[in-house]
Amino acid sequence: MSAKAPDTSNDPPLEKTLGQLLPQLAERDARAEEGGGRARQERHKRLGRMTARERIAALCDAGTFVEMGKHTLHRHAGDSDALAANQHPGDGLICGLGAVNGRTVAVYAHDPTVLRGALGHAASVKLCRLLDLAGERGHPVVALADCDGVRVEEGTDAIDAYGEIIRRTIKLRGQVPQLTLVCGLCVGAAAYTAALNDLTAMVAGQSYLFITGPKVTKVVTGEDVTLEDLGGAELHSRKTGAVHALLPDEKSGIEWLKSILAICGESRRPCADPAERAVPELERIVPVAPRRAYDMRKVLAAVADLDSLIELSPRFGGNLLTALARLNGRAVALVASQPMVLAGCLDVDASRKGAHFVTWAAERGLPIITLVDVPGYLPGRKQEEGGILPHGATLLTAYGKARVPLICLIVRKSFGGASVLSFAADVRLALPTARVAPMGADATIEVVLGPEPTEPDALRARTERREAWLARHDHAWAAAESGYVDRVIAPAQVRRELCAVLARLEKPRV
Amino acid sequence: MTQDEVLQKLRGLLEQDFKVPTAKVTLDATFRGTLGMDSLDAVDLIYLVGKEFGVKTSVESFKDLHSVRQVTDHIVKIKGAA
Repeated sequence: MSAKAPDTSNDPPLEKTLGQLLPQLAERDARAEEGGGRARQERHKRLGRMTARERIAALCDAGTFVEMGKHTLHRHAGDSDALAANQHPGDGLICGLGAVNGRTVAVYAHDPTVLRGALGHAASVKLCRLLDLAGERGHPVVALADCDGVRVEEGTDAIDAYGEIIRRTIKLRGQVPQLTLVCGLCVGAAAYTAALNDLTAMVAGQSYLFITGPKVTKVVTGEDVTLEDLGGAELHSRKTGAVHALLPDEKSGIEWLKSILAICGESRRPCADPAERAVPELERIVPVAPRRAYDMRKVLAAVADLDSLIELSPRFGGNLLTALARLNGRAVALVASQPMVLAGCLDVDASRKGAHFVTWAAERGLPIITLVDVPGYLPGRKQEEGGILPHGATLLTAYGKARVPLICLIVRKSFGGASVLSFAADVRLALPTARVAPMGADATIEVVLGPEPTEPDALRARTERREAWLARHDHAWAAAESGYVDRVIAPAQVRRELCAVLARLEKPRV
Repeated sequence: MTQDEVLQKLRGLLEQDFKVPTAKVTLDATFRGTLGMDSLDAVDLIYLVGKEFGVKTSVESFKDLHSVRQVTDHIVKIKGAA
């Protein structure tokens, strides 16, 4: 029996049906793109800020953003007047896949014009789908945060949803780079997500990152505090270390994200800067005198590929520098003592900063190059009470567990327990100015030879013994002869030597 | 600028951007108490005041200004000094 064709004689003509549907599509799209409405978007712009869509457009290559869940609506209109009045397509979160310099990233932006960007269940569901996709496909995740926490009006649903986001964020650690640019508010669970990400940046004067806001703080503790006090950029970039970059405006923040994505996404790229380039300027920058300060940033800039250096957390734990850079086109992580701050001593903040950075770099497969000029741990009760022991141990663990090439260059001092910076290295190089010892020469001599005698003959004899001890132990060759240092190299050859060692250590350790 | 001129502009700004009825914006009104604004509103207001009056503002410089009078006086002062 042959199939009978359906009777379509009463159907409206196709062109008429589309004619009815297409205007609706355009109208729906326009509504979704207005977020919380034109008036709120205009106000947001008057505040000198980019809208969520403008942020995504500035990050992604033109025409590459593929939005997910554009028309999602929340289903909690009955829970509060605010939710009933704010049922906007997309539910206050714009998310999807886009390309940044040709590479796909999963990107999401909270829309502050919808309930101040507070995240509810419907938006969380689509964000979870995006994070799952990022994990499966290996795409970096970028958050453009402007979020007043979870929507309290949605009750358990909101908490449940954010729990799922946090669970996924933790699962993605080490799998894909996760970056946050805090553009406005970033509160409660959203703040946790930012802290769980690999790297976070803030925009000065308009971004705030905290667990508990001023209102709740006032209710619970009676304390009057400003947003700036609780979670301003100054606090996080200088004191907590939760933020790795502080940018003057949103555009600079987005450029920062692009530069980090480039380093994370492209481990090798052709390099116009020759690996053999001599760096004679190091002879001028690094003083031979052990107590003279110098700026280690100049050493890093001279050694790295031209214009490739991106310093992270420059205002926090400034005695230890952390930076991303390229060396002969290879993306690398740089850790370096900074003799300009606390003489380069390791302290609690520097240990925390170093541990986070080394752990992250190892997770990302970045070779870690450490430039050491450390006179020891910063002594004192404040440091011990602050937990220098556990934090120092965390730094040691980070190096010890890293399964990426570890190269160390001892620039000048590597004293005592602070030699943690060089313990785990695969290859240890040293400049002729280097000294490696359990403690500084003066303190060591005090231990070895005892206190200075007052009697002239005894003092003369002690001075001779001191000179003999220094001649035997207090120079780079002593460390090389003991086998602690593999080779002593000329300052001008540092770049060439690091590139050569890096090339030989390329394959990760099993 | 006189205190009254500043107050009129401030009223317009509070009505347009914060939906605060003009009648509530008296010199003795406090931002947190009378006008019901919160700390985020304060950050936005400080930015908008800077833009509206063409003066340099920072959260720090407005930290101890709680009433409309204090803010208008502050603006009159910095406008006068400019």
